[in-house]
Amino acid sequence: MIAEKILVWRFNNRSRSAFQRIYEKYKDDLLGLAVTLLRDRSVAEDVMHDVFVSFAQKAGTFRLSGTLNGYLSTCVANRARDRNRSKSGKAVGLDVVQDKAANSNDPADRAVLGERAHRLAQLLACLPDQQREVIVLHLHREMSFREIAHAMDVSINTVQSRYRYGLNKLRVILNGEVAQ
Amino acid sequence: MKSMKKIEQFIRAGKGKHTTNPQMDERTIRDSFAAMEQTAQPRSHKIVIPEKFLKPAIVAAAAIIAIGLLIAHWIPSGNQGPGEQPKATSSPTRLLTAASLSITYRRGGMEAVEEQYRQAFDSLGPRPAAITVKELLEEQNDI
Repeated sequence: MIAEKILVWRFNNRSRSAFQRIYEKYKDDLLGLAVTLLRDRSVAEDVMHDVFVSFAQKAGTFRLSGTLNGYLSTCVANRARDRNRSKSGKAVGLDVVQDKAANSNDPADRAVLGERAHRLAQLLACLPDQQREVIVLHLHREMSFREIAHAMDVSINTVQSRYRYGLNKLRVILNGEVAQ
Repeated sequence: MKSMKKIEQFIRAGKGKHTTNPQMDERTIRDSFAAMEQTAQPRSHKIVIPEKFLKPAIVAAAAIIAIGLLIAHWIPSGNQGPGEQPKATSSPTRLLTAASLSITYRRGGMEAVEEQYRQAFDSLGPRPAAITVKELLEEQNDI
């Protein structure tokens, strides 16, 4: 935590090496988050680029209230949400997801994601953006519900509801698969 | 029937491993450094007052100055108790400057000036007993 504060302090003093260290530390995890939320690697890379450029512009005036991980994850989630909205990303049904899965059997893609991650990406695509966001931020980025609520500017109860509804929906889908 | 805990475990375990490619890293770092440079440009620190606030600001400033002057005029300066000797400064050299004597005269008249001379000469050392203030002033004026 202190190391992070020092890193942020150095970044605020416009240290390029501090910025580079922050980038190196979080880039892969944030890309994973962006890919999970957007389901498109090239768009995810664009989002990552925009998030870090925007972060760099704050050098000198940046104030960190929570953790850097939480801050950057929230930035990625917000931008991913905007991208999803702009391409009218609606929640898709299981049939559509299955079609997607059938179409996305690119070996390179599957090798990168791994079989399980690929399956999870398909399942998460069934959820509305808000529920997927909460689940991924909580379980992949290890953000608390309080942090997520603060970042999304909603109440903690709303966040917990979205989380529960999302998990329930996944459970129904998985149980349906088991029954077949 | 899968429990919530198992689903949570499944999601955690399904976290994919992603790595950025070097081209992306290079582009992001380069553009970020450029953004950092841009924000590092010095900005002018002028106080910009919107036009609609300009007149009230001038009136307020004038009012503050006027009130300050009135307060300074009405409130008498502190060390003027009835029994106190007015004293401009304590150093003998400064006690005898024209400014100091002028202030003392305005505050306490000729008696105060005489007292100030006496204090100055006391601290400077022996002086001829016969000399008067009048003679001293005449002497100073000659110089």
